[in-house]
Amino acid sequence: MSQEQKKEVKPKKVQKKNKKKKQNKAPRLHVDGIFMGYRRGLTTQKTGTSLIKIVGVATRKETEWYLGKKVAYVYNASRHHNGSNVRTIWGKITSSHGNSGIVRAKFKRNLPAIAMGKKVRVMMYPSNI
Amino acid sequence: MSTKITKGTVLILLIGKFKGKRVVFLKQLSSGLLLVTGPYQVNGVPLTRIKRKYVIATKTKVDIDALEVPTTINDKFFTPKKPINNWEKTEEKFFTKKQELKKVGLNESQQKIQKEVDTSIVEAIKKVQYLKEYLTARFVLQKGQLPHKMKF
Repeated sequence: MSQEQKKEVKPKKVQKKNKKKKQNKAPRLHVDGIFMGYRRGLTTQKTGTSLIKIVGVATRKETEWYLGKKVAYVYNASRHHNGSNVRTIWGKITSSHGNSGIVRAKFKRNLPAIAMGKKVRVMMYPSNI
Repeated sequence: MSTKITKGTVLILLIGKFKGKRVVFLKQLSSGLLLVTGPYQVNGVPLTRIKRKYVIATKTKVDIDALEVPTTINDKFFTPKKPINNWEKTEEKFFTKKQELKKVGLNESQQKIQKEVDTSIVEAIKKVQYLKEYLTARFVLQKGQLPHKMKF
């Protein structure tokens, strides 16, 4: 009986919090990826091409769907511009890299080195489904 | 154009104000853009046009083969009216705000056409179970969902 009472009390609070969070969040229409680093040999790196690890993609065959898709590196700056301090660097996935699902991407402006290990958004467009 | 997208196909919008919304495809315009509608009563998406590459075609179809989309809905329908000659010098310009000039959405006469088109689509939607709820719901990628493994 006491256990039932405990269950009754807790869920109400948790539900309210979840509802508020869901209302505020924008729908996610992108897959998260991580900027692993630049294309490189052992001693030299080519900063023009970035390597991206897409979450949930582990084989070369699975990367086929993502080729050509747009990628965005989203970051905050201290200065507000046009009402927002959120900035993006756009790019697109050019090809797969290796056999384990890593992907190469070229950005309009090369990604800054500080972005290594940080999240990148892989969009679902241009779509041909 | 792809054989998957035919009149009545439900599309998922990937870009713009209505991203994530599921809409009904009507026809391809002469410019190549796709004409879609929510319908407006169902999910708040008016008659809009989008590019094929910013859309995911699902296998769900609304049965609107009988519907004839009026030819008045073409690319000109969506382009704003041309301003008066010497707009910059007229008194009207002095009084209209920038926001009014950039009005997004359909004006009153266009909204009438919207209603005409939507009524038959809404009827067709009501005939299928859960289709209205499907079109009201937004497409979202949840944790663990990967688009390359999904079947649309």
